Amino acid sequence: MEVKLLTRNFDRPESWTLDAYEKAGGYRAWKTAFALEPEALIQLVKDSGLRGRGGAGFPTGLKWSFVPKESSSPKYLCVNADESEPGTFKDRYLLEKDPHAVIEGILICCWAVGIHHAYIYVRGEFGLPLFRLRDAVREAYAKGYLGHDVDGHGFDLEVTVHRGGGAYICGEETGLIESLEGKKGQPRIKPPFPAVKGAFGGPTVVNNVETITTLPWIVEHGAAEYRKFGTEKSPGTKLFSVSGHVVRPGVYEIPLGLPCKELVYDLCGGISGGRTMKANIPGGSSVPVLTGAEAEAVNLDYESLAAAGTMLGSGGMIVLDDETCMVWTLAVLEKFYAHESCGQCTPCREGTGWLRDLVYRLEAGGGKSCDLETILSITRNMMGTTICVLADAAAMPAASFVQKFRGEFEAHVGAGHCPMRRRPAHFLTAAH
Amino acid sequence: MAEVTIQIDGREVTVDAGMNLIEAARRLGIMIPHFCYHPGLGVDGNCRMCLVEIEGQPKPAIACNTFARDLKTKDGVRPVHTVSPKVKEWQRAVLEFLFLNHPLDCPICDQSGECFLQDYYMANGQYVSRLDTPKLHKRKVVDIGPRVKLDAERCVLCGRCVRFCDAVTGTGELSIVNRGNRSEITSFPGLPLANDYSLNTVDICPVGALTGSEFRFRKRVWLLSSTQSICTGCARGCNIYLEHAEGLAYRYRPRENMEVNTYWMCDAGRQTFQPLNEERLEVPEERGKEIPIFEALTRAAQWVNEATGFTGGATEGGRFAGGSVTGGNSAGGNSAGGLSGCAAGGERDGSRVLVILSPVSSQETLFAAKRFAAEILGGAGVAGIGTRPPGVEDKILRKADPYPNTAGLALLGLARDPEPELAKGGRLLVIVEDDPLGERQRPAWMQHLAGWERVIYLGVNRNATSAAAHLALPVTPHSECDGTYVNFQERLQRFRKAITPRGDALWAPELFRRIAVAADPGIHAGRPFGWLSFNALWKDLAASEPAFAGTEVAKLGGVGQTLVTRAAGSAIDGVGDAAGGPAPREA
Amino acid sequence: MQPFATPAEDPALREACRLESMGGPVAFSAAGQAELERLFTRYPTREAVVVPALWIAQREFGWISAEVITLVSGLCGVAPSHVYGVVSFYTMFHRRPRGRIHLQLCTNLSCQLRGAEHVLNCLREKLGIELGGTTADGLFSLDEVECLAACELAPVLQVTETRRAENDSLVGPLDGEAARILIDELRVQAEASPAPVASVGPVADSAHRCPGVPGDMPTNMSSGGVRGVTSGGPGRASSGGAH
Ligand SMILES: Cc1cc2nc3c(=O)[nH]c(=O)nc-3n(C[C@H](O)[C@H](O)[C@H](O)COP(=O)(O)O)c2cc1C
Ligand code: SF4
Ligand code: SF4
Ligand code: SF4
Ligand code: FES
Ligand code: FES
Repeated sequence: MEVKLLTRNFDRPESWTLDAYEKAGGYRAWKTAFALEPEALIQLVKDSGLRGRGGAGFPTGLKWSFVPKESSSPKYLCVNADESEPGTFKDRYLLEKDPHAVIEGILICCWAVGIHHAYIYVRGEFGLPLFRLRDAVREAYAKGYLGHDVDGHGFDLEVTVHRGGGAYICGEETGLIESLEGKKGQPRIKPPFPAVKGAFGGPTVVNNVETITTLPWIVEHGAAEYRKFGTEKSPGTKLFSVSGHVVRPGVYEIPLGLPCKELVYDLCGGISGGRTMKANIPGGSSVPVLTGAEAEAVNLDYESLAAAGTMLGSGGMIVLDDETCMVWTLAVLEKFYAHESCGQCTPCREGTGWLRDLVYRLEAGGGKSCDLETILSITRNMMGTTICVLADAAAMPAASFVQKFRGEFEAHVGAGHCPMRRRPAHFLTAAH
Repeated sequence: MAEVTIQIDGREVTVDAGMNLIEAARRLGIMIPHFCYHPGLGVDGNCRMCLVEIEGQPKPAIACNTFARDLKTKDGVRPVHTVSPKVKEWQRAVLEFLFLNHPLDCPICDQSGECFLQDYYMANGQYVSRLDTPKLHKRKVVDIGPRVKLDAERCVLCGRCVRFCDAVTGTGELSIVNRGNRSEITSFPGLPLANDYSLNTVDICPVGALTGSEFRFRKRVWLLSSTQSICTGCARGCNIYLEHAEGLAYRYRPRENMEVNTYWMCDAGRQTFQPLNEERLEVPEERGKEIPIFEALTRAAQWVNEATGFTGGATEGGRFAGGSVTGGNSAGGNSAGGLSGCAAGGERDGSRVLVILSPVSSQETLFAAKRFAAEILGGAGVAGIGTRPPGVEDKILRKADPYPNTAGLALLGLARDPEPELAKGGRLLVIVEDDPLGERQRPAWMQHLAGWERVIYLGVNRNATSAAAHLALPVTPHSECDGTYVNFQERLQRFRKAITPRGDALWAPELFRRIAVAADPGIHAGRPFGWLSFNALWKDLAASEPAFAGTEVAKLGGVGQTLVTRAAGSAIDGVGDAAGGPAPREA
Repeated sequence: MQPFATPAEDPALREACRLESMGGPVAFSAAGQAELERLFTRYPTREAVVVPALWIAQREFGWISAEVITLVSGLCGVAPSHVYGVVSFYTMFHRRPRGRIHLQLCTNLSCQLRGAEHVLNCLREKLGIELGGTTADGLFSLDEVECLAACELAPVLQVTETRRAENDSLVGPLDGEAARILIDELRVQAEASPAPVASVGPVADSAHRCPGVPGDMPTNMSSGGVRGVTSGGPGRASSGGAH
């Protein structure tokens, strides 16, 4: 079952233009929002049960309420469009196909929190999403939806599109803020939290593109209506980016709580080549992997996935078929984390490289049987000991792969080579 | 700020609510291992070495970014553990991560012995066994600046050096480039780490990644002893550790004093220890020829007597004349002397004698010289000002005044231009320390030197002045005696004897006493001249110099104390205010 | 055992701290300068403009040299070493000249699952260069990138014209044959217009229909994968698509 809240405009011709957005009823929700007191608006978002879609799932209304009402330094909104979690591409769709919905969401958030400058931090690799967003912002300024005295409501709002330089860690909220300030995107220690002291020293809200884009719909239709989708604790809809070995990879908007089976087999057309699902990484590469059987039994909402020992994360689902080598898969992932660790915290900087080297060695056939224990112990030592959770993000896949597919790892050690792959991957022979 | 009583490892301590756990633990003598936190650079939170366990909190917390107030909850204050099995395991894990790519350089590493990594590793057991992946290689022995060498493989990327150049000097030469385990400290091409404080990065680098090019490999650090001292490079008087071995000074390291130098010192100041080792005047010299100390003392005494017209003392040949003693109150005696044959001492006339002092001398030397001039030199004139060219002042520590005790000289009322008296010429000129004839000094007034019959020099080094003097007597520098200086803030600061005096060098007050005794054996009885100890001298000094009234030198402690009880009005230009209130202090 | 190259053997690492020179001071064009001035009004600090300024620089100069860093450092009031740190932190700033067309192949998981490795081998062979290399004619540089947030197009290649910095186009799903055809097409286009190549195709959507035909499928790639879809074009890619 698919629903169309966030994706309602995707099929409209030139959906990214102001014209198309307005024709579809756009830029009305924020007028409703402006009619509300900021507190009431925050309450509405709290009532809707909307949770952050960037990965952590933190209740959005609650996050906003942490921002002090009065502040001597300016408050900021940072829209997180850094979308870099492997397997996630939903924000790209939103920016490409409905950038005005993002802008309207920004208006709503800024009114609620009393913010007069929003930055949209777009990952450096994005081309078209960036252009579409820039054009949309330009159009919105020209139409008076942004800038001084927005649409005659006496509210000023500046929106600046900021292009990053290419670093996964800039998706982490404080890494994003550092990066926005012109520095290396190295996450900050918390406390202080961004809501108290964030960008340029001011209280700052960081929200994911999808979170922001959900706002106009909620304001227009009300919290109760939004809660009709999803489950009690995970209300609403969520965009899932499905990739890997499925027949129809793509972005799917589903009500939270939908059985994973339905998404994989019905919406995505099942496993390609008629093979079976060996494993499923449900929430972006950083969450613990599920075996095919586990995935078939789970529902896609925050609580069910947590109960299954994994996370909803960003909703970037990667499906692996039965011909996939799990050691090789983990090697690809650990290559990523070692490449992306910002390098400040000792356990992450060293641990990511160490994990990668060990898994490379296993995949290349040079592993030792004690390596599996070493990997598990490294992951334990990395988790919960660092500034941001990239260390956990690198450790969780490693731990879950070894735990759930231990036989495959042992087979590599026993055989002295990868039993499943014929060709060596370039990253095992070339250096990193 | 409010105070909180917290519990660390079962012991209670009451601290400021805003104090972090590393500092709070330090109060209890508990050392929480850490790399990146430095009290002078603040919290960065990257090394994760300081993980501690807080009861009721499942995850480890970093002690550097946990403040006493954070421990307060509704139901009380959460106890902290720094040595629990969990903490030990976390620490072991962090160390293991650090060793993953750390070269096994200890045997050839200059940091060995003062390396945090080595210390923590020793305290935590050995576990390199499972580190069997190839180590990353980075640059080694890079001249990152004229005075500092970098070994990037040893770097633990704590960022202290980077933060120092950003926050303290504002020069920003260093940066960590690349990311992940490829991260590396570097400077920008053409902009080396050359700021005036660059060697502080060597001090704060917790490992052997940054080493001083000059000190490198000169001495194993565990062979060095450390003594509290004061830098004599300028009027700031940075608090330092003087590190020495086998009678040689090896280096200066800054010592914390929040009122004076915080945690730092300048590079130039560090180099000022060289005269402690080199070109020392070890043995007295008469016109460039070494002579035994007893002979030198006798000669000096004889010249003193001749110049002051005193005939009751020593005679040529080193014999003491007469043994009879009177209670001759020669101090300040100004009446015409020359009572020939008066074995009882008699009056001295100091009108043809002059003593030139310098702010290079300790407070004790200045005071002793002042007394010597008054009592033994028959009220001879005493004057002195610094003649070194001023240095460059900056906004961090360095003062333009290149002397450690300008304020001390002024507070004794001795800071004045000696020219008028020097120009008159006379029988005996005593120059105490400094080197007015030195190449870079040579005040115009030294041209009058020729008008003096005899010149005695008391100094630490062989230099132009010692060469020109008729008699040069060795005294101890601040490494070889106890003493004090008064810095530009009028803060009295103590340095301590680190090294046994070289050769015949004597503590200057002691040298004055010996000359006095040689000049007038009768002095032992009656009113004696001189002090048998540092403390005795200070008792006298505090009692007789208004500016130092009430000073209890034994209570100075390591960080010194501002002179508040001194006479109204400052003797130092630009320091005191006209109203005579306390001198403005530097923030 | 297969050869296992250690990270330590990477010669690039030892050069990790190298910056190249352009031979002399550089300056922004009037347009670049004007853009910069406008940017300064959009942020509360000058430092925040460092990354946008580097983007302008890369567009104008093609890559980031020591001189460019000095320039940006002066304009933004940030120590050169820190600008250098920033340049080295982000993957999109080139510290040495790159070819006119920058090919970045995603080698993250979803693309690997669908045959990125095979595409990579075909590209290496077709171009005669290794990862990180540039063709002798200076036309192409080939690099790998991490997930481009276009996994539905896996395996996906980002094609960028270095001097234009902002015409990145995604091409996918690729296979070996498609990759070869793409290179030929790009070469023809480039030779036809010595000025910067206009673009890989009309920039109507971030992805371009793959020019290839189903051909050699690597073992790990599902034969049933949907080919030729784009994120906005016909075919099943979004929830709004036909199915
Ligand atoms: C390593 C790392 C990468 C992240 N990347 C992203 C990202 O690309 N996009 C995103 O929206 N959030 C990302 N996050 C989550 C953000 O830190 C933050 O939780 C989120 O932007 C908050 O917005 P939300 O409450 O609307 O989800 C990342 C977090 C971590 C630790
Ligand atoms: S956990 Fe990793 S990515 Fe996050 S701040 Fe630490 S080193 Fe950087
Ligand atoms: S060189 Fe020393 S002070 Fe600087 S980051 Fe490395 S370990 Fe820390
Ligand atoms: S500032 Fe002055 S006292 Fe301090 S180290 Fe430098 S020269 Fe010595
Ligand atoms: S001292 Fe606390 S993290 Fe480094
Ligand atoms: S894995 Fe290649 S685009 Fe996501």
